[in-house]
Amino acid sequence: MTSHVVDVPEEPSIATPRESRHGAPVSSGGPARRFPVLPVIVAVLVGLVLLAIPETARAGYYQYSFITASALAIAGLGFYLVYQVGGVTFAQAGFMAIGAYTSGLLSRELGWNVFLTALVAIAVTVVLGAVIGVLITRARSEFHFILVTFAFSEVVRLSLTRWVYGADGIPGVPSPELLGYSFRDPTRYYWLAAVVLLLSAALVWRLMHSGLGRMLLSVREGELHLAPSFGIRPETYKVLAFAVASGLAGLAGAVQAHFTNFASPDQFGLQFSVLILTAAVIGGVGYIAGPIVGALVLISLERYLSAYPGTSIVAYGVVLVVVMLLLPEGLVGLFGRIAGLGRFLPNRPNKKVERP
Amino acid sequence: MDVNVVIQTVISALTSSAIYILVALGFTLVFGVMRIVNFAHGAAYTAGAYGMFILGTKAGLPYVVSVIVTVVVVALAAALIEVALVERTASDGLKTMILTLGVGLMITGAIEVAFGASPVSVPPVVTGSLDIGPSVVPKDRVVVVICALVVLALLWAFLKYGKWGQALRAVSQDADMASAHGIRVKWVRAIGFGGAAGIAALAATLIAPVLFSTPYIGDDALAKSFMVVIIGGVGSVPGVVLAGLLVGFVESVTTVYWDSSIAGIVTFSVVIMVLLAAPNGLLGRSSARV
Repeated sequence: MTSHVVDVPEEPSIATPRESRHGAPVSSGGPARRFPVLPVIVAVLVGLVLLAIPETARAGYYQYSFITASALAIAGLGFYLVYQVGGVTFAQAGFMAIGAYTSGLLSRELGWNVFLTALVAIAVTVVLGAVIGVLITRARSEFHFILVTFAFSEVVRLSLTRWVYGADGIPGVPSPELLGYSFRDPTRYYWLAAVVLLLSAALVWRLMHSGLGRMLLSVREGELHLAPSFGIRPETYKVLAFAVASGLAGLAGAVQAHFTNFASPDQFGLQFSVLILTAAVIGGVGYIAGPIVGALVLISLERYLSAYPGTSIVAYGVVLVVVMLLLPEGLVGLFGRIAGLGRFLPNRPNKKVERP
Repeated sequence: MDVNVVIQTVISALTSSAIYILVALGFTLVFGVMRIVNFAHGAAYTAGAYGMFILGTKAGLPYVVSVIVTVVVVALAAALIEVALVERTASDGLKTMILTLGVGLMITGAIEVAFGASPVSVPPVVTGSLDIGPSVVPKDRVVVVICALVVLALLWAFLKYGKWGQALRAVSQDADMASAHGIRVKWVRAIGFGGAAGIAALAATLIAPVLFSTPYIGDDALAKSFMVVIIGGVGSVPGVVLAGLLVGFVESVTTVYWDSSIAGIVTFSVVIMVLLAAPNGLLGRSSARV
């Protein structure tokens, strides 16, 4: 286990500042107020790259990759949220499928506006996520949690295969259109995806930096003995995190389906759940930027290696093993450490308290 | 109800159950001894099937030789992976889990790179069929069930009376106490991990002449292990046997009377219900042991 210590401006936190999973002291995620140099630099750079992509010679290729990665990243943000309350979820793929099918079918069959159907998809997945969340928080270990979420995704996939348009899926999912302005053009969809991703990340960031976010962290930190004494019911926050994560997955499904104009059950199998997990882990499972960076890296890898079947799977495996052994904080953590500005990176990975 | 259909269903259910039980036993063994969820377990199963493809189909070695070489190689490789990689993250269950997931992906992907994604087959060992009452039952499936029973019995005897089997059980009950009694826990962990992979590979070598293999059969084997272990109770060997039979029969019956996607929906729903209603599984105890 690496034991680097980032200089964290300590602040009284609800949870006791014990050793974190990766050896860094735990903070409640409230950085001291000073000018955020690094985030501004990063934001400017990211903005410039985003602006430059449509101008490059291979704009279509990069835009396609970016949009695919966005969908993965949005689902990955949900994975991050659930991880913050101590669970590894395999349910994101299932909720993504539900989102893709809800939005895709409503817009295709009933002709509803895609922006409306995407909202419906979010609403459906949030409600369903809350219901499933209530059941799932009864899982008695992290192992059980993984299995229920995995079983859920499989039930969704098989049910769609069996009862909704079969294994071939639904073709002809319409592209979004708003007041006569169509997003069928890849460059326009690219900007749309960028905005949706940014909004999702902002939502998650806001959530983690509110009083609620501190509650979420404390749920993870001292679930059994500490949180209740502060009047926190851990289950409530777990369910909340799970519901928001489900909604993000639903949104991700809509983003993907309306771009490819297609959705099928087999897109959302075990392999896709593994892909979401891999994205979050290699980016850095304790950082909001983690799933975004991870998704971009993974999709790039996949596209470079797509000519050689199987090699991308090997690459994912190698990356996971290397990250677990050498870079437990992922690429974002590595970057923060190199820049020596780890204090700006919110919400370091925290230790999960074992249940007895 | 047609007696013939019933007999066919029972035979197919027993065959699936036998394989599920063997694979899930390895999975639960690793969980019991090391407290880790081994996501690479499915890859050991795939490796077993492709070992048979390489040795049996490509090299043309006799069946029994191929089985022995395959199982030994997979078990040794797994023990090596345990010592070289898994031990280094042993303090953190989630990290280990993700690590084994990575190892599994590497193995699965490497098999696809080497042999492609299309199904491969192993030459049949047992041909012909048996007449049981009014129905004709393929002999190879009966042989698979008998072999699995023998393996199960040997394994049970090993865990009960073997020196290393007893050490495995001791470590799974209390690693610190076992260590205090002079058991080399590190060795036991490597043997447990390697042995579990060997059992998964053995299950695959038994069924390889009967079914086609693809690089992704391990995913299904892993999913089935999850289900069996959850239903039976994490860490419980009798639980694995009972749940393996249950999953095998539910699956075969629903496949015969409806179709295979219904079978999946039903079995996964059973898993969810068991998890929520009886979180310890049918025969599990509150603390997981082998």
